[in-house]
Amino acid sequence: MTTSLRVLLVEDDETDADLVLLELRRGGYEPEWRRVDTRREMIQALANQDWDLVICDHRLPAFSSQGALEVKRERGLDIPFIIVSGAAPEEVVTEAMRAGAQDFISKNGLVRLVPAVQRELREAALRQERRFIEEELAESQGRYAMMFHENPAPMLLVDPATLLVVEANQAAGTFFGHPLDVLERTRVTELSVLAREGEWRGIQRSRRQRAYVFQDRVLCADGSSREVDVYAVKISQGRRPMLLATLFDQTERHAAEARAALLAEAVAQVSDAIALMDASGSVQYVNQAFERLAGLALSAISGWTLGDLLDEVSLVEAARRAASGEPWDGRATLRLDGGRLREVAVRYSPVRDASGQVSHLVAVLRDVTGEAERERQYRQMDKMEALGTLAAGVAHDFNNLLTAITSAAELLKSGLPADSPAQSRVAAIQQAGLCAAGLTRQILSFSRKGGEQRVPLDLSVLVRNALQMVRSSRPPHVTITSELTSGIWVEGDPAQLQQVVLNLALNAIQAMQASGGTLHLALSETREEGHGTVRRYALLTVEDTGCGMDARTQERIFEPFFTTKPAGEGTGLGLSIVHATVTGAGGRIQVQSRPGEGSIFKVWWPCAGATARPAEQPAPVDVSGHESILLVEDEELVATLARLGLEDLGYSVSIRPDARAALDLLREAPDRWDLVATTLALSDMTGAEFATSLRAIRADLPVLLLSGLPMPATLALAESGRFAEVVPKPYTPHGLAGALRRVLDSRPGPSARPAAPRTVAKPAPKEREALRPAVLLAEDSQTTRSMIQSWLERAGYEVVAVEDGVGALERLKEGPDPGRFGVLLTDVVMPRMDGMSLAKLVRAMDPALPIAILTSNEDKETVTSALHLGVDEFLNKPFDAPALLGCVERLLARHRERMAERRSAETAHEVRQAQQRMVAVPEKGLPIYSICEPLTDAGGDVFRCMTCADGSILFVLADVAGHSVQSSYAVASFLTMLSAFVGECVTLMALAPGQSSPATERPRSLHLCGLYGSIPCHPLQHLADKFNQGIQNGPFPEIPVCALFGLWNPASGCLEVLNAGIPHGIISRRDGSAEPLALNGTPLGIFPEPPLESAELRLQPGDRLIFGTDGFFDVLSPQRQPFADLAPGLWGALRETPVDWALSAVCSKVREHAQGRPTDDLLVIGFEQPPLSRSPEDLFMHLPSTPRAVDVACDRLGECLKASKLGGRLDESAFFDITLAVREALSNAVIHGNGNRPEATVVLRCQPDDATGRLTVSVKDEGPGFDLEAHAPPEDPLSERGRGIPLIRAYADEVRMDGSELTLTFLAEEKNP
Amino acid sequence: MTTGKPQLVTKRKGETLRLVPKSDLVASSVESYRASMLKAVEAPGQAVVLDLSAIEQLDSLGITLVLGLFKTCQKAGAAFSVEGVKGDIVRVFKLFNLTKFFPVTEA
Repeated sequence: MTTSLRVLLVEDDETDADLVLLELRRGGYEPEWRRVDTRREMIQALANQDWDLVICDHRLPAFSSQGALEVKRERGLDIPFIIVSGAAPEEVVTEAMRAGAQDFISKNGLVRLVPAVQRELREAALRQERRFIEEELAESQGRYAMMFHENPAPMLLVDPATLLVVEANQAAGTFFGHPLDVLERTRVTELSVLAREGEWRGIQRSRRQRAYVFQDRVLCADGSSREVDVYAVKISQGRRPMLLATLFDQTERHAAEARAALLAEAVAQVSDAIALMDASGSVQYVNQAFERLAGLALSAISGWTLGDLLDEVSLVEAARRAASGEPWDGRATLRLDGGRLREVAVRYSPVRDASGQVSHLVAVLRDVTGEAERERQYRQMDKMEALGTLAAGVAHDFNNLLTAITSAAELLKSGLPADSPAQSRVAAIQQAGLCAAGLTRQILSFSRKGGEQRVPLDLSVLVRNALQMVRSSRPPHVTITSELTSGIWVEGDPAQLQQVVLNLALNAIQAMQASGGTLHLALSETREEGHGTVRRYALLTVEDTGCGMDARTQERIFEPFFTTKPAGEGTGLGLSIVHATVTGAGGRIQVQSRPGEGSIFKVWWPCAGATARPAEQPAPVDVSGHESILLVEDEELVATLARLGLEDLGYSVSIRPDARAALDLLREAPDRWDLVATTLALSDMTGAEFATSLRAIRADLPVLLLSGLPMPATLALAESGRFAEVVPKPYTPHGLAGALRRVLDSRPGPSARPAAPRTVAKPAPKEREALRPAVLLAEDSQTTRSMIQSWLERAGYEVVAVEDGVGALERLKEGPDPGRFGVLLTDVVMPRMDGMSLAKLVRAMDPALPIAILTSNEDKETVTSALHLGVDEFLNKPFDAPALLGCVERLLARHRERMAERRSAETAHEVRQAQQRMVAVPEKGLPIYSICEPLTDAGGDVFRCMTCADGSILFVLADVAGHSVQSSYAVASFLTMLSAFVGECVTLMALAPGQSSPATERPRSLHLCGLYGSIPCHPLQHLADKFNQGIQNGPFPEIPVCALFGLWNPASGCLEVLNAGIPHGIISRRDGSAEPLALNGTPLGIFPEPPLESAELRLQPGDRLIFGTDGFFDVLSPQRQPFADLAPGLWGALRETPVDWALSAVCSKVREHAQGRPTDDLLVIGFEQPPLSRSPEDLFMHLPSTPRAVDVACDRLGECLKASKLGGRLDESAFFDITLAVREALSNAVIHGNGNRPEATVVLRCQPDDATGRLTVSVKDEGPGFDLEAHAPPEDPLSERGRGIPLIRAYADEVRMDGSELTLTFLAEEKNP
Repeated sequence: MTTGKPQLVTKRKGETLRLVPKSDLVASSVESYRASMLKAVEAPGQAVVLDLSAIEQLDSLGITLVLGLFKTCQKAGAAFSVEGVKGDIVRVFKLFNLTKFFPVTEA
């Protein structure tokens, strides 16, 4: 077996080359060789081919082994290089070996060649392998470095022995917020909130596990903590074991998972039913509400479609639209277990995946069964209302026709002989007319438009008449029996009662239509005892032997429009009208029935009291007369018949078809007429308008109204006071004449006849109480309005019903009697003005009037809004009569209480007003005046002031919110606090360091050592803070207080004001100008640190200030103009008046402005700056903000100082120092405080005091001030800035900064001799 | 009291430039003096002398002006000194250790 070997022979002798090759072959090699003998050839050979071995002769004619080694070295080749040469000295061999030859073999000793080749090839292979490994290692280390340092994930190299971070990548530094050098000195457990030392140690101990993952929460430099997954791997760095930890921030993922879990829980628990389907509509998920609604668990529904649950063809369309990406809303019926049905509102929405494709469908279901039922009821009510409107219109015209018929019949009858056979026929016409009138009332009753007429009647007679009608129409196989007790008197509308009997009887016959049977009617009187009273009822029993009813039908038979009859054969109204009629009259109805066993209806109708039974019929009254009557009637036939009838009775009658013609006639001869009778609806104006116009012509002319309107409206007109009497249509000439006679006979004068009893009069409401307040009802639905009005009137209440809020307001404003109405009942949604707006306006007009909202929408927002408006109660529709009456009773009781309170308060107010001195009074003998006029006994405006040791006056105005009893207690509490705090503040100011004689200014800062550490604070701010805390920590934290704190030094004219919500005060200057002090601020007691605004003023002698609460500035005139608009002008105009008189005069103007109807407590204070008290040596200057003004001031200061006694004690250097320090203070004020604005003022005040040897200089600008302590000399001595304040501090003995005022004090030293 | 109109007298004698303000170096005058002085030291020569013999007041803005002059001269390689200074004003220079940077010679 031979081994191939690529050999480059550098040899010039072919023989020697062959010998070498021979030797190689002998050693088992199969040489692939080339021989070269020059440098060029060797370079070429190396370039063309890879070689395993170079065998080179030592000496060649044109080359050498050194040259060959050099060629190999130049190319960086690692090819074994063996020199085969003749004998050579040892130093040659050594030199060759140094030059890179691997061996040197003598040509005579070629036996060593093969072993040498074998050895060198082995060595070369080893070198090759080592080189490869080194390259791999270098590459690996590079990859590691890149992976570690450039990895976006935080990575830590941790020493497992110490758990110290040995190395951290940049991402770790960013993640933890620590510099890398800090991070690399930290134990890894210190970076962890959970200090997972066990995990870190466990990794190292584990022999089998090389990688380890655990969760941790690490702490970052900013204090935040992050949730991480730690992936730790054991590695070796050199020979040291290390842990390489990679941190994966899972904070957001965990938060997202928590959010997703919360969302899933919310969906699971939300009250709406939610179902999630896949794109094919198959249910994948339903929430708990869905399971409750459907009565099925998710496991049962899963895989269904909603179509399996819902009966609605539209769902197919819904699913199709949702699948195509469109939402769908609609309603469907949900089939429940047991066949029960619920109506649900369904909303289908598509759910799209990331690619925008609809992947799922979501359906939200809401049970609207109740809502749908109410909607159905409202629709029915609308139908009834429309029907009622139609019926009312028909009734008006129908009554006109009936008037004509009955009048004509009466006239015809009066012209017939008494024994004429036509008498009975005419009587039949009259009877038919009366029946038709009853029919009209029935129509109105049916539509709940009113029209019922409650009269005493014998129920047995009515039942017998009804039975007679039933018998005439009964089927032959139905037998009718009766057992009626006579003389049972009740009160009711005959038509309604007849309808009750007929409906029950006809229903009974209907039930026996198929099989026949017996109808039995019984009437008796029964008594029921309870609560110490005995009630008598007429008991009507209607019993049949028909098909009967099951329990479910019995539950619903009194519901409107419920019927068991085939469509088109029954309206479903009969029994509901019976029920409404009976219960509306205070009775009750019961039914007993079983299928196949017939039914028994029992009706209990209250018996009439003894007084209700009709008295004996009055003897016919002589209704004839001779007076002149003007009849205004647009129906010609009715007018003619009335005229004929009245003329027959002796009256003189003129007819006019419209109001305008009638008024013209009246103007021609006003005294010609004794009475005007007018119909209600004239072509050109209403009867009411006509009556009003007529009054302008002749006020004493009585007007009789002929009304075709339903009874309630007619009664309302009768009560309006415009008409002497109202005659409802239809009437007869005799009836009309009777009304004329009553009116004419009741008038004083020669034509008056003895008064006759009024036989046509409105029935007085039952149990009506004198002076009982009326109920004002605003309801746009005529049906509901009539129903409520009916219930209330039956209970004895006077009701004024209007259609909307505007109507209600008109009624409330029109009457002179403010207590006319005791309750307002109002619907919410009405045309022109809704109930909420009405409630708001009514509450502003009359806080005492109880208001109840009639609403079908009891949502929280409506309730909250209504409560804010002061609504007293809610009555949710639909409601029944007891609920309504209970509500009205409660509200009336409340109204009585409020009226009593109001009368008491008004009395107290009047007394207080009478006793109050309405003049400004000085407070505690100080030159500060106040006027306080509480609106109620418990006024909420407070004024306190106190004198400080230096003569300053500390004052506080406070306006406590509200006027309730609680507010009055709060005022008492706050007054105690204020007194304590003001006293404390004044005491502390006296103790504060720097306090000097009263001639100097008061200290501007308090250093409250011992109480609050050593916190410098401003006295007013301190007072406001204390008061604010006191309110919040006191017994009335919910009552905020507006306040204004002032500190006024009348001697210096210094005024500081801190405002917390009091309106802007006004300052009037000596030049007559007056302007508001625009200081704002938040009331106290609301925020821990309320934003307040303060100002410091230098008052000049004659300047006047006025401060007041909102009860002063915000008083509105009837034209809604606030007094604040007028106050500056007034306050300025009163400059020539002494300030206390001026204050009184302004308050007098406020009262005029409010026209004597203040709405809030009034508190106003005022004062005038007296002449400033200062020594003749004092210097006081107002300077413009210019550098030149600084020079002038410094010159003036120097002059004053030199002229003063103190100046005599100062040497030139002291003058220099003082002048330089003051100059710096002034320059600072001009440049920094006032920003070089010439119009801004700098105030300079110098007070040399020879007695104390002190010179006090204060400089005040308009800026915010600065921190004196922050101004040290510049660190760089060559700095060109920051020397002003250090100069001042160097040359003044004391320097103090209060707000924007810098005060320098210089202590005089005796002159050096 | 020399708070009159700013007036600067410049005298050049050989390589020495002498600047003589005739009124106080205070807020109301420094801006005028700054313009005229900086113009004068555009060619300062080897030495600049600020002669304050006519002034009685030097406020912080005046010091700023003097420092500005000193720095300008430093840049131009010219020597800077203040002469004729009243004792009280010397105290101001000493207060801010400015005498360490340039000679201040009391009058």
